[in-house]
Amino acid sequence: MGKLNKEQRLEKQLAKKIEKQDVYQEVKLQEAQEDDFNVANLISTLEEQGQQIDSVKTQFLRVNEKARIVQEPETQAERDFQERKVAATVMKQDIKKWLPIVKKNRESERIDFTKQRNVQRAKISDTSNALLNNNLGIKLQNAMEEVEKVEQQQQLNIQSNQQKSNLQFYNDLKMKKISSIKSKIYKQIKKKKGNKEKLKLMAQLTPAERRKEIEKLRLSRAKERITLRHSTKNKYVSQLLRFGGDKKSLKQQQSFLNNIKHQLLAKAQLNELEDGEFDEENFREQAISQLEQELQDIERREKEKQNNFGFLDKQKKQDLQESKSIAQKLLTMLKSGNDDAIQMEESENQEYNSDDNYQPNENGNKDKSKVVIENNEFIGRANFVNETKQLTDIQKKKIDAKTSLSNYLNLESEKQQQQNNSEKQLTIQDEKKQLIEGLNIKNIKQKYEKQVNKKLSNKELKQLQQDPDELLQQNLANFNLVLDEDENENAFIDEKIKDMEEELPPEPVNTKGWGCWAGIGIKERKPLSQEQILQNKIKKIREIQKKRQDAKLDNVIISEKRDSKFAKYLVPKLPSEFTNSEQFDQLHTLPLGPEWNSLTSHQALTQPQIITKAGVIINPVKVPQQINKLL
Amino acid sequence: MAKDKILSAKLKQQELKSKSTQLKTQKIAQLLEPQFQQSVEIDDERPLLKISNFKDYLPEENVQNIINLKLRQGPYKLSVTPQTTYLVGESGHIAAFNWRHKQLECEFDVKEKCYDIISIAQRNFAVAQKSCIFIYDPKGVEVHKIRECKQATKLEYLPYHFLLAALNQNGQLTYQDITQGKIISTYRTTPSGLCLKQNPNNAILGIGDQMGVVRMYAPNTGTSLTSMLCHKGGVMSMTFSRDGNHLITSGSEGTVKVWDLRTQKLQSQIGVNATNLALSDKGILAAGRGTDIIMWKNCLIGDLKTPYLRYKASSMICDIDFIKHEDYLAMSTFNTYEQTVVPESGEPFYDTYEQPELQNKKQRLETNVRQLIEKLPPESISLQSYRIGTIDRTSKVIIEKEQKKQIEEQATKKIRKQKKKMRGRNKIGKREKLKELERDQKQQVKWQEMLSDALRVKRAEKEKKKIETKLLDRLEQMSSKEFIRVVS
Repeated sequence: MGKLNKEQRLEKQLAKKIEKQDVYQEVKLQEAQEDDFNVANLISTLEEQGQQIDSVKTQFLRVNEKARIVQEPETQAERDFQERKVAATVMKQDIKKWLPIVKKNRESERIDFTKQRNVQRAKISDTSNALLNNNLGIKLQNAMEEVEKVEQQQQLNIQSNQQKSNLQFYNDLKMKKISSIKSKIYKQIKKKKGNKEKLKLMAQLTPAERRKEIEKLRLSRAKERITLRHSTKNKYVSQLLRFGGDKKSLKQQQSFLNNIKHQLLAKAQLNELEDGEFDEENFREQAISQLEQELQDIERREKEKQNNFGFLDKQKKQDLQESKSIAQKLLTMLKSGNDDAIQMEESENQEYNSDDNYQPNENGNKDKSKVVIENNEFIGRANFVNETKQLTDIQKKKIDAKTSLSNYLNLESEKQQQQNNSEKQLTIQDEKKQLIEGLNIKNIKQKYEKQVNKKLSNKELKQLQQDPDELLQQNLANFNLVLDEDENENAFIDEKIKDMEEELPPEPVNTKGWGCWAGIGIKERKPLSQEQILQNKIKKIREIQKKRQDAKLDNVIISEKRDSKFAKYLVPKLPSEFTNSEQFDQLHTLPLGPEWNSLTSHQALTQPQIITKAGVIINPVKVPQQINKLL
Repeated sequence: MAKDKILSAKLKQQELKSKSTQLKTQKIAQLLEPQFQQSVEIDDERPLLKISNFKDYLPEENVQNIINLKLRQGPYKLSVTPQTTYLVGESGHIAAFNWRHKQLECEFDVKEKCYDIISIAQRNFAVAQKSCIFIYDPKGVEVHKIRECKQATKLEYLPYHFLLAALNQNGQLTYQDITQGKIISTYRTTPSGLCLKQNPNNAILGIGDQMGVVRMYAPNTGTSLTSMLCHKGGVMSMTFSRDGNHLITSGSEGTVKVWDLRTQKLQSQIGVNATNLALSDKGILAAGRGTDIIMWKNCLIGDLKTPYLRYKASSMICDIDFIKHEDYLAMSTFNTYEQTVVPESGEPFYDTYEQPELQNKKQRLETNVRQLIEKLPPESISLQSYRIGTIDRTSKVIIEKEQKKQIEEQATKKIRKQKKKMRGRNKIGKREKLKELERDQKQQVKWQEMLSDALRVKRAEKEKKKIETKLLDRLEQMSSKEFIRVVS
């Protein structure tokens, strides 16, 4: 044991304070303190005496390494400090999203928090053309061009690329095999190996670098503590990640479609309310100039480079051709001056808009302001400002002209519909509506609507004046008013449909790769989409519905299960005498008992066929002559 | 007709017989009708006629039976027979008295919450209490306690099947046989049942729902036979007609509706906010709302516009019922029990299976025995009970399947014959030795597991000690002075 000076002691204390968080520290056995009793001191004393304690010493060193490098415990104050640091960064990221929205709301006159629902589905193939108009689409396109440049450079070194690809393939195979191993012992060993490698790397670093890395580790742990973002892999979470939570039941889909319908109806009503003067000549000139510009754009876009994705290019071509054909037709019609042709075209387009919600109209005629608005989530406030203030005078005129034209067209189309109401056939879209709405209620609604729309004669008017309530009661015997939506009614219809669904046979499971054993050359069957499955299901339910007893009664469910316990009171087979079941049943129409009949009739009904008096001798049975001859 | 001459002749004879018997029964019915029916006809100018107006013109026998009893303990429920009324208060006051002779039969207090009361066979009565259902004597002695159905709120009694049906708070429906004490079937119905009533023609139970649906149930099947959407609000109460063809319901949205059960369509309706309904055998409908009771005469034909009578009770009405074969209406309120006259409400003719009230003790015993012998089995309750004895019209494939199932079940149930064991091997001592061996083997396995755990711990401790001793041996070799310095 060597003694220490005062100066040396002070130096050591200072070093301790400074290097408290420094991880690795060489164990200075020679400079042990007098008063403290440590294992290090003990070993040093032993070493001085010349004893052999190498094994103990190595053990002690190893433990010290491990403890100091990784598992040095943190104090509570340190832990709080780290968490505060992380929380600040997380909050900043969250606030970034909301800053522009708050800014927009502050500047505007009214505040509107209505959130637009994402009507479009996130399919790239459907919205390839629409992407180019968005900011995101432009970014994507730029990114793709950069990638192309890099690829062109890489094509020069073909051999190196091949080697890399081979190596990658080998590594992938290896990782697949490793990931398929499930034993716990293997994983434990793997973990230990990883830890050892980490320790080796840490030992090579200088203390300052080491401190930084450990701080990173601690911060990541603190982030986990705050955000609770562990890597959970439940079944539910994995399915969410795979399918995006899009698995919906029948009921949910119906409500989803209904919501969209209401939204569109509300929009249509808003458009109708706006009125403005309509100048035909101005509108025509503007339209022709716009269409010509559009055609030029289409030609330019066709000459552009194609992307690497095949399906994107196909979709792009189709869209461009469609828009081109429509634009050319419109141009010819506008120049010739046939207004009737335009009406038909426009009305078709409007119907297309109202019913198919998934694919918005992608014609060039659309204003660019609308496209910009669709990108934002908060539309209500922005829409108001854009329409009134920020638009130029020319754009305002366009909007006024469009709305007035739509009003003009709607009025005439309604007149035509009223004339041809009886001859109108059910289109595909009408059938879709039927599928979505309730099953049998549709007929009653039509009846009721016909009665409302029908022109009443004088006789009927007199009847109505007398007692209007009775007429309603006769026509709508089972429901008071079907048109009013009711909670009870909807719940009952759901119950009825569920009862019919139980009769359906179970659906076959679609598995990829199975059911195509015939060999190469045969086309692969595409699995049915959810809409097709739904429609098939509804068709089957309708077939079942016609056979049921309660087909015509909306407010009644009659269960068609067989009561097997009651069957013992029935006769299972027809007796040999009878030909029909009705003949047999006719015998049971008349009750025989004294409770339902008078005494005389009861006696008459239960009278035996042969009556013999007491004392009469009954001869034994003889064999008839016909049979006797045979014998 | 059939090709057989014999069969066709048989059928013709049957028709002739049926026609002749119908004529005879009609004649007898005409003879048995009461010669002068008391009837009160109302002019169209006066839409309502209060009972207090014609009270003075009634005979003395009827006036004596107009009763108004004042009670204390909470809202009351009742069940009425042609001779006695049974009352139960919510706080636990139970009473039974003979209203014809004005005699009290029993009165007692169970200090427990009570929900419903109903009269069953042999003048006994069942009470649905908070803990379980109790069955009492006519003199108030506790006879049975049904523990299986807890928290029952509604009771109903099927007289020809001897079944007590109880509806639970959770919507569980139980059928209990009263003669044997066996539970025949229990199953879960709608959780929000508001009222329970039987169809007297079918013995099928109807449950009115909070969602405005009436569902029909039978003990054979766990699911509902039919379910009918009647109201936009909940079904507050309902009644069946005596012939089982009509159903009358009252909804919480404020309508009373008459349904035809043969076509299952609405017949007529009126806007009255009724909480209780009762229908007499002759077809007079009584609807209680608040303290008022309004009555219609020909409701089943469809005359709901002009009401027949009106009665005003002293407090809020809780329960209504017509007395059978008499022209009285009984009602229980928050504080009272009241009984009034309703002319032309009772059916004078008795059913042949029904137990008339004017009987000797001996006659009553005989009828009880006869009713027990002619008890209907609970499996015969169904919507198609009129088809008993006719031919089964379901397809042959389904019937064959059922028969196969039955045969398989019977085969599994059959007990195999035990082998004849040799003499001396089956001694009790040998059997118990084998049992002891099994027990010991199980214990041995347990001990081995315990030992293995203990051994591991011991071995680990030994290894620890070895390392410690090595260190300590080296310390002992040190000089004593240095050692003391180090330790201090």
